[in-house]
This record gives sequence, C-alpha cells and structure tokens, in this order.
Amino acid sequence: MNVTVFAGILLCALVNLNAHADEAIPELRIKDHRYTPDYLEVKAGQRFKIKVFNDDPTSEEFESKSMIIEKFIAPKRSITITLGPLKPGEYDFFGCFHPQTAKGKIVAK
Amino acid sequence: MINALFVVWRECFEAVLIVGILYAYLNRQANPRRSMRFMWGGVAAGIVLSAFLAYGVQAAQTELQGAALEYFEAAMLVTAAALMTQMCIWMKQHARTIRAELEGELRDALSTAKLVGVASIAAIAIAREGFELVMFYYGMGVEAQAQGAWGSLALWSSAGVALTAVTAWAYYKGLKIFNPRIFFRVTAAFLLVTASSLVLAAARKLSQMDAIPTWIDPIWDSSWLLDERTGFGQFVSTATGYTSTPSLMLLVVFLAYWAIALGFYYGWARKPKSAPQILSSAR
Repeated sequence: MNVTVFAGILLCALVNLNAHADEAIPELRIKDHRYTPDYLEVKAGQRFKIKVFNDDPTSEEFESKSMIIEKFIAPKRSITITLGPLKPGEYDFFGCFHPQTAKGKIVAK
Repeated sequence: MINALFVVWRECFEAVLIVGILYAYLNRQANPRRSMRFMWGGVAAGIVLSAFLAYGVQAAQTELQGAALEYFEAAMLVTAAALMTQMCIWMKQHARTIRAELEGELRDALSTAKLVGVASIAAIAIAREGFELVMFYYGMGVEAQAQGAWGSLALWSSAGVALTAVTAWAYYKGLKIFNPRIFFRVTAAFLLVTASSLVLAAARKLSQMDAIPTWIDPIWDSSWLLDERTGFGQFVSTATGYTSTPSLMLLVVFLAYWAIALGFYYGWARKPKSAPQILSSAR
C-alpha cells in the first residue's frame, strides 16, 4: 500500500518536469457541425495544447485517427487537450458524429 | 442519418467482443443459468452507468468537472483490465482441471465473487461504449426533431443493431468451434490483449490530459513497418492499442502490464487476487 502511495507521489513529481511554458492555446470552435478554423499550424516535435469549443446544441467528438484521439464534447462545452509531438506533416481530424461536415487539419512544421 | 448505422455498429463492436467471450465462457460452466443472470445483470448495470456518465458530462459546468469524469473513465479502464486479467488466470486454472472432462462441463459452479467480477467486466465494457452512444443519440435526437427525421434515425439505428447482432452471432459461432482447451487459450489470449489495450488507452488518455508525463515522446517510429493510419494498421491499433510512435511512458506501461499479467498467468507469483492492486499502481 505504501508503495502505491509512494509511486503516486513520484508520478506527481515527474509530471512537473513535463510542464509547459505559458503560451496562448489555439482555439477551435464547432458551429453547425463545422470547425472554425479548420486549419491549424503547430511546431513539429513539440507537445501542444488546443482548446475546442462546441457551440452546437448537439454533442460532438473530436477525433483523429492520425493523432489517436477521441474526445467527447458536450453541447455548449469546451475541452482542452494535449497532443503531439508530431512529425512534420499533415494530420486530419474530424467530428465523429458529423464526419461529412466537421473536418479539419493540423499541419506540423 | 446513416451515421447512426456506423456509430451503433462501431460502438457496440468492442462491447460485443467482450460480452461474447463472457457468454461463451459461462456457457461452458456448470449452472450456466445462474451465471448468465449475473452477466446480464452486469449488462443492465452498464447501460445504467452509461446514462449516468452521459448525464454527468452534460451537466458538468466546467472543464474541471469534465476532467473528473475523464479520470473516472481512466479508472474504469484500468479496473476492467485488472478484472479481465484475473479472469484469464481462473480460466487457466480451469483449463487445467477440465482436461480430463469431456465437453468442458465443470462440476463446480463459479463462486459468487467470480460472477460479480464477470458482471463488472460486462458492465464496464457496455458503459464505456454505451456512454458515447447515449451522447450520440442525444445529439441525433435534437437533429431528428429539427429535421423531422425520426423515421430515418430509427431505420438506420435498427440496421446498426441488426449488424451488431449478426457480428455477435458469427463471433459466438466462431468461438464454439474450438475444443475446450483451445477455447480457453484463445479467449485468454484475446482477453489479455484487450486488457493491455485498455491499460494503454488509460495511459494515453491521462497523457492527453497532461496528467502523466510522456518522458520521451516518441521513443521510436515504426510506421514504416506498420502504420496505424492505414487499413490493417488501424485494425491492429484498435484491437491491441498499437501505435507506431509510442512514448516512453506508454512503453513502460505496456511492459509493466505484460510482466505482471504473464507473471500471474504462468504462476511465477502466487495469489492472483493482488493483481488489480499492483496493476493500478503500475499506471
């Protein structure tokens, strides 16, 4: 049991090593099942955060096969996610519940 | 509203795989009727839990509250993985005792504690996917109302359910062709791989929330060998949690899981009961 607690403390301590410098977090908004903007540039080889707002009355799921993420967003809510680091290239994402319209791309440079 | 077909099928698929194994496994035990009651009880509990989770996400006013649910989901994944691993260990023990018996019928019924474990696995498998379905339907309901498309929604949803039923049936029939010994091996292997993918999913979830570090990310890139973005790689990735660019954290979690699971499976360590505890700290 003590080992578990200790491992927990150790983990928390290590988390801080991973802390980021304060940078503006890019924002995406979902409205009428479309992402705005639907194109985002990020630095390759670095972890980054994005904030996704869902302005629709319906729920959506921010999903990307290439970045392996599936993240639920309730109506009129937002989520913040940490992604990457990405190799230089294009990564598409979509809204799992409205894949025909909710589409976008992240480009790592 | 053809979305409904794919969403229903996709979300149900994993739950069907897991519940299908439980069903086939329990069917080979003594007193399957009693066991089945527990399993279906678990399925029902899973449906209730999905509704509860969906309500929680909907009601969460802040990102912090949303994050709490994510932690809950991660904890659920790890619990399911621990229970599945434990189940493989009993399966292994059972496979040994039934070697001499004909059809794989066991004399002793499973204990209530084990059946509660089975019920919990079913509940978590259902809740995990079901939660997304509930949220999906909430949205679809709003849209169907606006467009007067209830008929189309109902039609495609039924098609999704039918497709799931066919998948489940084919899968169950497929499992039945194995003789008992091979059956236990195949299902144990499947459950261990699934459990490992759940642990990886939990670790990935936590690292996307920035709750755990990645240490070195990525530690290698094997996309030249198997790329999870293409057809077959995507399938492997869904089934096993494979990624071509894992972080050191994911690798450590993966190795820790398999060391612990195989350790207990092959009986290098005694007392399989402590497996869940060790697993949860390995996270």
